[in-house]
This record gives sequence, C-alpha cells and structure tokens, in this order.
Amino acid sequence: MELRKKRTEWLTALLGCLLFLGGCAGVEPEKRAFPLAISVDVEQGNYVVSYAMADLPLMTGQGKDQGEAGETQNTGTSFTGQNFREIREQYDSSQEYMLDLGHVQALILGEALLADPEKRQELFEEIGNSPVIGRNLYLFQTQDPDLVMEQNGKEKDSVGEFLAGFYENQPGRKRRKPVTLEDFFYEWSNQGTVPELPVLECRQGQIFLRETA
Amino acid sequence: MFSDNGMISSRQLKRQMVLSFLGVLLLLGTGEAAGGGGNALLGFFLGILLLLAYLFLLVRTAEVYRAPEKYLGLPGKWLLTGGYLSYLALSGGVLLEEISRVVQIYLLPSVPQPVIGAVFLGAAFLGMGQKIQKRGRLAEVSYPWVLGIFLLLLLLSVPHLHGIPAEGMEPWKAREVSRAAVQVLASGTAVSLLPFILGRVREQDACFRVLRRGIWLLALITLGTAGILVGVYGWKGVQQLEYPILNLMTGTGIPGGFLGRVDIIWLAVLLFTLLFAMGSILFYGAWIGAGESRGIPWRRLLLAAGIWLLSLIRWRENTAAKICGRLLRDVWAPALLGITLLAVWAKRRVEHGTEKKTN
Repeated sequence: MELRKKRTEWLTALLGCLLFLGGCAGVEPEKRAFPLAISVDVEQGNYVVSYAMADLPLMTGQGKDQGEAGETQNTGTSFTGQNFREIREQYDSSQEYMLDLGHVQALILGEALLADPEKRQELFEEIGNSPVIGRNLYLFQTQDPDLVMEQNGKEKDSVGEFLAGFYENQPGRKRRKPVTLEDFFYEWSNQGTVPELPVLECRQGQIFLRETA
Repeated sequence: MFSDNGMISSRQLKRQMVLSFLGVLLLLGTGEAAGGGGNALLGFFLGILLLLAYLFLLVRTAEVYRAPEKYLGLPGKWLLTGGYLSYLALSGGVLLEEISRVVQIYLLPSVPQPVIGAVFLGAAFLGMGQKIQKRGRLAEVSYPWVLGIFLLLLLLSVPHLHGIPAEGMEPWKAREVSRAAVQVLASGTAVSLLPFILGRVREQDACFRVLRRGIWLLALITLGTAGILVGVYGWKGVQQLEYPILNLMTGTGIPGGFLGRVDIIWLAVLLFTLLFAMGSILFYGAWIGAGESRGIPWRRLLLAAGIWLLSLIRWRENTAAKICGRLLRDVWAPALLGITLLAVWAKRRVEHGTEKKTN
C-alpha cells in the first residue's frame, strides 16, 4: 500500500514536471527579444519608443553566424503610437520574438517627453504597473534619443551595457550617484518632482555622459 | 535515525509556525503595515501583544481542542470541526488566489490562474507532508535557509534606503491604530490551529515560551521589512504598490554584478514559504477530527478541491481574496475568538465538576 502510494506520488510529480519541462507554459530564451536599453520620447503628440536589443550570439560568445534562423535579433526597433497599448500592439503584430523587459539596464528619456507633464505621468504610471522591469535600471535624459540608440550594434555592442558601465565599470571615478528607477519613483511619488537626470550627448558617433543638465 | 513516534519538539513546532506565517506576512502584511504609516506600525505592535494574550489562552485550553467531545459534547465537537474546516477552506482560497495572481504576473503570464492554482495546490498536497514528524523535519531543515536568505535580502536592500521621510505620513489617529491592532489579531487567529497538535509536542510546558519567541520573530521581521519598504519607497510611494516586497526584490541584487537579476531567488524562497503555508492548511484540515490517517486522504482531497473552487470566485469586480478575506475578518475571526472563550469556560466547568466529585 505504501509502495503504491509512493508510486502514485512519483507519477504525479513526473507528469507535473513533463507539463512544464515540455514548454507548454513558456517561451524559451531563443525566441525572446531582450532589450537592454529603451528610449522614450514625444514627437507631435505621439510617443516614440525604441528598443536596443541584446545581440545574444555576440554576448554569449557562441560565435554563431548571425544569419542563422532563430538567433538573429533586431539590434534596434522603433515604434510610434498615441499610447503604450498601441505601441505594444504594433510590436506584437510586427515582431516574431516575445518582448522580455526583464533585463533592461538603461532608460533614456527625451527632453521633449520630460517637458510634457501629462506624457511623463502616463509613462511612469505604465512603468510603475510593470512587474518585470527591474527597479535598479539607470535613467538618463538626452535631446535626441535616436542618435544614442543608433549606436546599438555599431560602435557599441549594446547601448544598455555601455551606459550601465559608466557606473559599474568605473567605481574609482568620482561621479554623481546614478539615478535608478527606484530613486526616480521615490522622489516622484513622495515629493511630486522629477529628479535631475544625467545627460547623454552624442557627438561624432560617440556617446558622452554629462552629469548635470 | 529518527524514532517514528509521532512526536515533535517545541522547536520544530515553532519553526513550522514561523515558516507558515512568514511568506504571507511578507507578501501581504508588510505592504499594509508600511502603507498605513505610523498608525499601522503601532497598531501592528499592539496587535502582536493581543495575539500573545490569545496564544496564552490557547495553550492553556489545548486539551479542549484535542478532545472537544469531552469538554463541549458532541454538538460542540461538530461546531468546532465545522468552524475550523470552513475557516481553513476560506483561508486557503484567499491564499491560493493571491499566490496564483502573483505567479501569473511575475513568472507565468501565459498560463491561466486556475491552472497555476491547481499545480500549486498539487505541489503542496504532495510535497509539504501529511505526517507530523515529516513536517517537523522539513521545517527544521529549511528554517535557517529561508530565514537566512530573507535576512540577506533585507541587508542588501539597505544601500537603497533614502531615509524615513519626515513628510507624507498619515497623521496619528487612535481609531486607525486600534483598527490596525484588531486587523492583526483577526489575521493571527490562525494560531488557534496550534492547540490541535500540542498533544504531539514533547516539551509541552515550554510551548508557550517557544511559540512566543516565534511570534516576536515574525513581528520583528515584518516591522523591519515594513521599515525598509518605507525607507526605499517613501510613505506615499509604498501606498501605490500592490506587493511592495516584490518590487523590493526586483530592485535588490547581489553585489558584483555577476547575476543581472536575482529576484527569482528571492521569489523562489517566498514561494516555498507560501507552499509550506498551504501545506499547513491541508495538514490541519485532515488533522482536525481525524488525526494522522492511513489510506487515501479523502478529507485533504476534498479540502484541496474546496480551496481551489473558492479561489475562482469572482463577484462583479471583487476577487476571492476580497470576498473571503472580508468573511474571515468580520465573521470567522470573531467566531474563533468566541470558540476560545467557550473552551476556557468548558475547561473550567469540567475542572470544577471534577473537583466537586473529588471533594
């Protein structure tokens, strides 16, 4: 009787494992797009959202041909819409990979967006409601986010890693404390103000960090 | 290595209690305590004092819970059994609905909540032990790891503190403090399940002392976490978050940067404690009135089915957590407190009757 009960338990556990290991519930990493940096700006009343995707074969050192099916991912994707639902719909209807925002390291905000309180409010409510975006990502502002995002996959393998590297790879250098999403929400929720964000400038294909506006 | 005599130590009992409450407090209690400001934090502390007084009464009347027919008669036994089984079903439904929501949002967005709930219940049913010694050993072994990892999370959150903001806290109100204290007492009525198994604890005289330490530990962890949440998000910021502890997990990493996101580790440990809590509900559901039984665990199966069905309740815009949670707070919690007072009266009546016969 004990042996039969144990067999039943093992069989049930095995079936449960098969259900999840069989991939019925999830999308495997090779079929996901991982943006490491996102830029958001406003143009003529519409949001412009760009995703700087990670180049997984390059980052993982697998050295596989980027032309192979299933491993080629866009290094940059841009969408325009009146609200974020529209932008999500545009992504879903035009991209084959599932968007995974769990590894975003940098959020670049256009100065036009920061100057528009209503759009800014909507953006941060959208981010606040997202459970997957890490609260330790870094915030930056720039006049033209497109110039910064264009560097992804060109001079810089990944704009997201490059920007995070300003703070993580140069610890001895005296810099102002970075502004993370957590810091941003603290000031915005409790004081109603937007903290001063580090400024990015793009000149001759190079990205420069200017720490005060 | 272990003697299979169906007994556990008071330390194992305490560890079971702490593990059962820890996940629920972190997921639901810390947000309420932090978001309610000073009123909620003070109310929480006062509620713990009330809970300790309640625990004292429970330990003193444990024989009534173990042998209800002797003290309350057959109707009393059915009242006790029915009251507690329905309490467990409702509590399980609330817990399962919250857990399914969290798992769907954070881990498995493409899986329907009922499926997540069923698998979670299945894991608790099979993996969290029906035998009292098995559960005691599971708690004994996992306790230091669970506590250690959560304390590590809190320590690593310290660099994210902005300090306790001077502004934004709700003004002090005695009514809010008392409401929070009563809420803690109502939520803590789950400790009234402990007397059912106190007969299987070796050091019975030390039970209240050991359990009291466990309650204080839970209070310390909850208040400490609430304090950290306020320090990281501010009074107003934490009010805007549904599950602040999960937000804290997404923002807290291990120094060195060798792992980009480690919140899956914190979440895994949290899910383990929630699994243990669900396992406790199923365990007591089978134990009350039947004890350790052999053969097919029909009572546990029926309770699990009932919990799953209750977790699916939706009424207009209210979820099972809101509906059942309100019933638990407004109906069942006072009823359980009433049962304890009845147990006190019944024990005195029987002891008085015994004394008269002796004289």
